[in-house]
Amino acid sequence: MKKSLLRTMIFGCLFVLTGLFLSAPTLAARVDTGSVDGIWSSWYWDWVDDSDPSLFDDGDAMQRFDTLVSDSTYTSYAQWWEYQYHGPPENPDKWWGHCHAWAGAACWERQPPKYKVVRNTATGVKVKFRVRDRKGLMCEAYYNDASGDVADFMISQPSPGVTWSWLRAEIKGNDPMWGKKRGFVGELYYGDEVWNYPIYKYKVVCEWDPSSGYYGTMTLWGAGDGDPRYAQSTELYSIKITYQFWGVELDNNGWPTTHGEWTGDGPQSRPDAIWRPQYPTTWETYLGNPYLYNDALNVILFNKQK
Amino acid sequence: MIQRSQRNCLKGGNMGSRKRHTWTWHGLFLLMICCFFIVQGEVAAALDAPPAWSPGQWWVVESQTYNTGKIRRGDTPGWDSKVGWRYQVEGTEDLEGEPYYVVVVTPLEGNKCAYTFRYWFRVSDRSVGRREVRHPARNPEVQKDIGPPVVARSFNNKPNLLSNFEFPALPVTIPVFSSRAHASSAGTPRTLSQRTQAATKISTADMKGKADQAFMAKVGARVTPDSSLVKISQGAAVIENQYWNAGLPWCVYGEQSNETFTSRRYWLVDMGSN
Repeated sequence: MKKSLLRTMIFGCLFVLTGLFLSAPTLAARVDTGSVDGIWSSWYWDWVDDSDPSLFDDGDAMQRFDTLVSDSTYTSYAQWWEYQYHGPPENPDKWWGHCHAWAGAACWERQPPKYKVVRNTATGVKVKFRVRDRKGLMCEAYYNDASGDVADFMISQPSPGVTWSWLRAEIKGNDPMWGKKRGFVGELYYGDEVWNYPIYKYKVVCEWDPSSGYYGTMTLWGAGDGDPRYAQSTELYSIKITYQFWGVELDNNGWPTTHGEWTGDGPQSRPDAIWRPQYPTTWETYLGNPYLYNDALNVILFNKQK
Repeated sequence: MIQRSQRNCLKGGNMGSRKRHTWTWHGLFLLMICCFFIVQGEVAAALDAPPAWSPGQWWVVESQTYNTGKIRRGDTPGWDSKVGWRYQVEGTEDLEGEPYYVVVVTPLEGNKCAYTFRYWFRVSDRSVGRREVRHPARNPEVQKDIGPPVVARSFNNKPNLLSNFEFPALPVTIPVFSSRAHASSAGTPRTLSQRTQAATKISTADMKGKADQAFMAKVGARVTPDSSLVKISQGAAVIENQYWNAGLPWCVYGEQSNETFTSRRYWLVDMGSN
């Protein structure tokens, strides 16, 4: 009787301990993911003149725009302006370009699906705008989108907890600002250079450390802009960056409640900023090149939807 | 306490003397505690009464955001141009049985923001219960659908982490005007969503030193001797310092900082009533 009681007690204790061990969050790897549709790739339209296409090249977007809108009484100088102010005379570094503009446009605008031939009814001139031309004009129309006074949100050097919160809110769609999920921009080069990408997907994999909170990896997927061929393509090309973090605590609904810390250093150790411009009401709201204008851009960028 | 002290004295001897000293220290300690709470009470008193609002009242705030120079290539760090916002008390409405002021915030000329906002501030303490963004329609043949024309977010008077960061040029952070909330919320917030605030009485000169000078000249008669500096910490990393005067409807100057730099500053520049 005593032996069986002892055995029962031992097994009982083992049962309870096993239960406690399995229920402890130490072993529970946590995975959180989210994604949005509609983000698109582009070329970053560099300012240097050593890799095609550039917006100011002969035969490219700005010259085609000039050809369409110029007539006997008006001459458009969009190509000249682009070369002067977004081109070689500014003595740019190789990485200078339109990534912030494209990234904002990719969050708010539909990707031009194919070419469009536009006719100037006054002059009879017809110009074909390829996908790359239409993407390029759209990017230039977003050139002045990166400012705090026109931002939905703009957070410099966000912590893991803050970054994760915005990913859950906007990309996963758990509490989106506009009622439905939407991509946002990540400036993902932690350092002097600027590399903006529209983020469309994330995955957080983490485990619990009772002494400091959750630790693990946060992977972001953004549309890519690093290959000139992306200008004409309508495929989605990705970049993927994985960050490491620790010290994030979560509430019962999975929302971060503490900042935590990023691990490591170097340009891809943490995001430099996350942000999104407010959506523009016209193509001129954030316009860079002053020779572009709304009526013409509306026609060139118009996509007939089924 | 006096009676007990007297009784100890009657017993006489060294023991009684030591106890007298003990009670003296206790008394001093209690006095210090009382002083502490009296001082706290004075500080809290600065926020006990919310600013006087009434339907039709309006005010204008100009704000500036800081450009870190790290998002657009070639940008240099510095303050962006000022943009204006008009706040107007539209009326009062009940949310869950409590009255709230409904304040409409619209961008003024030169402000590129295309949205207009409505905020619900609780009448009793000005806690924000709800915000609504109205936005113009887009051209669906060119642009992605943005969703419904009005998007609301309810806070249930609890701080929301995401709201700390949205619309960075629009200053709508406001203290909770309640001594009870004040006393229970001093210190550093420990979580992202937690918010704390602390108020300090300041001189009228200090308040005016931060204010828009033209506005001060215009509303001089409205300024009372009751000015406060309120420090609101949101999620440990965002701190809002605001200079208030009890005679004015909004803080005369405020600035938002994070751990590394001041990201926003704003001034009350006009006020009136329809």
